[in-house]
Amino acid sequence: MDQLREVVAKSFGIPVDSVTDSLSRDNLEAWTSLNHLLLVTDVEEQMGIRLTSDEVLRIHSYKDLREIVSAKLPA
Amino acid sequence: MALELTSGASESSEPRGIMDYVRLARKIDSDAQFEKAPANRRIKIAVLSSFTLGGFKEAFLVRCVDEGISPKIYIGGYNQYNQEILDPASALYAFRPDLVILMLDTRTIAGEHYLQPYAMTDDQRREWVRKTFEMITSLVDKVQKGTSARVIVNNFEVPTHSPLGIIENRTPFGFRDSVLALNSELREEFRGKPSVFLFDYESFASKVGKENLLDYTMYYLGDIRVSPQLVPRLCDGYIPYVRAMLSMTKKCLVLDLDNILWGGIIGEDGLGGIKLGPTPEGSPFFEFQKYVLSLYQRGVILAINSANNPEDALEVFRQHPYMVLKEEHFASIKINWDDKISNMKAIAEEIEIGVDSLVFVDDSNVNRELIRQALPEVTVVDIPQDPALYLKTLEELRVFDSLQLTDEDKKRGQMYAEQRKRVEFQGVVGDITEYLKALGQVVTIENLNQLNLPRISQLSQKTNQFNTTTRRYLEGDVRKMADSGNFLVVGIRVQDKFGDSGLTGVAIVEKGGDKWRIDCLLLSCRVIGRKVEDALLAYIMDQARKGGARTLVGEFIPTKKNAPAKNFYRTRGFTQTSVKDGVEIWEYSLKEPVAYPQYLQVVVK
Repeated sequence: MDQLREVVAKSFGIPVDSVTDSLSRDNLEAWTSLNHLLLVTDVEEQMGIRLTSDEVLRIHSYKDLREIVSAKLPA
Repeated sequence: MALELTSGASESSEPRGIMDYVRLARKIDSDAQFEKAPANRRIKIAVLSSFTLGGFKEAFLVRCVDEGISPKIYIGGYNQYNQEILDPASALYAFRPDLVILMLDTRTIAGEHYLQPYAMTDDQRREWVRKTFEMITSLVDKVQKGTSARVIVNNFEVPTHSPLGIIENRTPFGFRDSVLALNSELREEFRGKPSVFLFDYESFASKVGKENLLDYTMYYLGDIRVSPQLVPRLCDGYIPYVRAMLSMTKKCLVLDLDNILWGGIIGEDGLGGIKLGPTPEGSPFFEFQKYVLSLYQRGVILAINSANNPEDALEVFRQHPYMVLKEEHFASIKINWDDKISNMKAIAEEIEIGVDSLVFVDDSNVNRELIRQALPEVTVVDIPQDPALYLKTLEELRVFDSLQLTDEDKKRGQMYAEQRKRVEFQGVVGDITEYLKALGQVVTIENLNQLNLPRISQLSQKTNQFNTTTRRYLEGDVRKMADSGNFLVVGIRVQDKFGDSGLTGVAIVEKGGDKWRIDCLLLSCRVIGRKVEDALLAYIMDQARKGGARTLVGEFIPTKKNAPAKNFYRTRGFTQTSVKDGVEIWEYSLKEPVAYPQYLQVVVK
C-alpha cells in the first residue's frame, strides 16, 4: 500500500510518514469535500481501479480508503 | 521563458493528477505575484460556469504561471452565472476582469429535455435554439456593457445519445441537429465581434473523447461535468487566448533540416538517400512540411538554422521532387557551420524581430539544450524522437495564435521572405539612391475605411519601434476619432518590385484651425529607411496646409523601444518647443510648399 500512501501524501503535500490510518477528513484541513472527489479520481487513475459512489461516500479516513482500495487490488 | 516565478511543476516530476495541481497552486501567492508582475504579463480572468469546476482554478493558475503569466482568477459562484452577470453590483464586476470565460454546457441549456429530447416537437426545438441563442448573446452583451473584458464563450458538446437510436437521423430537426444549429448560430454571431471569442468546446470534447469527459460518479457526487483528470487539458485550451491577449504570440518558426524536413543526413545520404515523399519512411517528413507551409500561409515567418554545407542542403530545395518548402518561403536561411546560437541571433536580427518571437525545432537534444540555456526567451519545441509524431507535436503547439488575423498577417511569411531578397538586392546595388530608384516604390495613402480599420487599430496596438507616441487605439477608438470629423486618420501601403508590403504605416492627425497636431505616426519596421515615412509626413503637411494650418505639431513620447523614431521630427526640420508630462512637443512652420521625396510614387486614394 506504499503507492497509495504516496499518492495521498503528494496530493495533500504532506510527509508520507503522516499518512496513517488515523488521518481523516476531520483532522486534515485540505481534505475538503471537493478535494475528496479530486483525490479519489487521482487514486483511481494512478492505482488503476474504479470506486463506486457508495464507496466514495463511505471514505472518511485513510483507513477507509486503504481498506476499499486493497480489496480491489489483485492479491 | 526564464522566470523568477515558477509553479514548482518543474521541481520534481510533471504533475500527474489533479491534486498535484491543487498542491502546487497552494504554494503560489497569486495576489502577490500579480502585483509584482509587469503589465504585459498579468491578467484578471473571471470564469462563470453552470457546474462545479473541480480543480480548474488551481490547474489554470499553475498552467499560466508555467507560461510566465501571473493571473488573478475569479471563479463565479456555483451555477450563479446569471445572477452575477445581471447584477451590476456582483462580485464579477467588482473584480474588473480582463477576460471573462462563460462556460455553460449542453445539460444546462437543454434542462429537462437533455434526457427526454423527444418530449419536444421539432418546432419546439427550433424555438428552443432561438431562445437559447438569445439568452447567451444577451448575457454576453451585458458582460460587455459592464466590463471592458474580452469574452470567451464555450460552444456546446453535441450529445452522443439518442432515445431514437439508429433512426435519430430520420427526424428532420433532431436533438443533435438542434445543438449543431445553436453552435453554428453562435459562430455566425460572434464572428464579427472582435472582443468575443468562441471556444470550440465541442472539438475539445471530441478530441479528449466524450466518453471520458464525463465521469458519472463525480457528476452525481459533486456535479463535476469535466472529469478532473481532463481539467488541465481544458485549461490548456484557454492558454492561447491569454497568451495572445498579452501579445506573447510567437512569430517565427526556425527549423533544422536533417531529420526535421527530411529523414537522414543530406551530407552523408545524398539527394537520393534522404527520406521524403509518399513512402512509409518519407511521409512523416512530407506531411510535416505541408503543415509548416500551412503555418506560413497563415502568416508565420519561416527560417532555417542548420549545420550543413549550403550547396548540399540547397540542392534538396532545388532538386528534390517532394520538397514542399522552397527557398522562397524562408525569411532567413542560415545553413553553415557556425554555432546554432549565433545563427539564432542572426536570424532575429535579419528579420528584425525579438529573439523572444522565435520557435526552434531541432531533432538534436544537445542543440535544443544549447539554445534553451543560451537564449531562454526562445520557445524550444520538445520534438519527439519518432518522426511519426512530428506533425502532431506541431499541431498541438499553440504559440502562434493571435486574436485577429488581418490580410497583412496572412501574408507576413511571404513579406519577410521578400524582404530577404530586398536586402540581398541592396547589398548588390550598394548606393541608397540607386537602391531606391531601382526599387520602384509606390506608396498608397488611404483614408480610414471599413476594410482597413482592423489593420490600422492592430498597428497602433503592436508597433513599438517606429512609433512617435505609442498610443494604443482599439477599433472603436479609431472609428470614433474619424467619425468626429476632427481627425485625419490615414494608412499607407507600400509596393515595390519585390512585392506588396501591405498596410504598414498609420498617421492620426488632429485638425484644429491654424495648428494641426500629429497624435501618432507609426511605421512597421520593415519599411523604415526607404523614405516612406517622408512621403507620409509630406502628405500630412500638404493636408494641413490645404486645411488652413500654419503650424504642424509633432509629439514624441520616449519609450524603451521607440528609439528609431526619436530623431524623426528633428531631422525633418521640426523645432522642439517644450516638454510636457514626458511628451516632447515639436513644431513645424507650414509657410513653404511641401515637397514629396524623390524616387517614389505617391498615390492618394
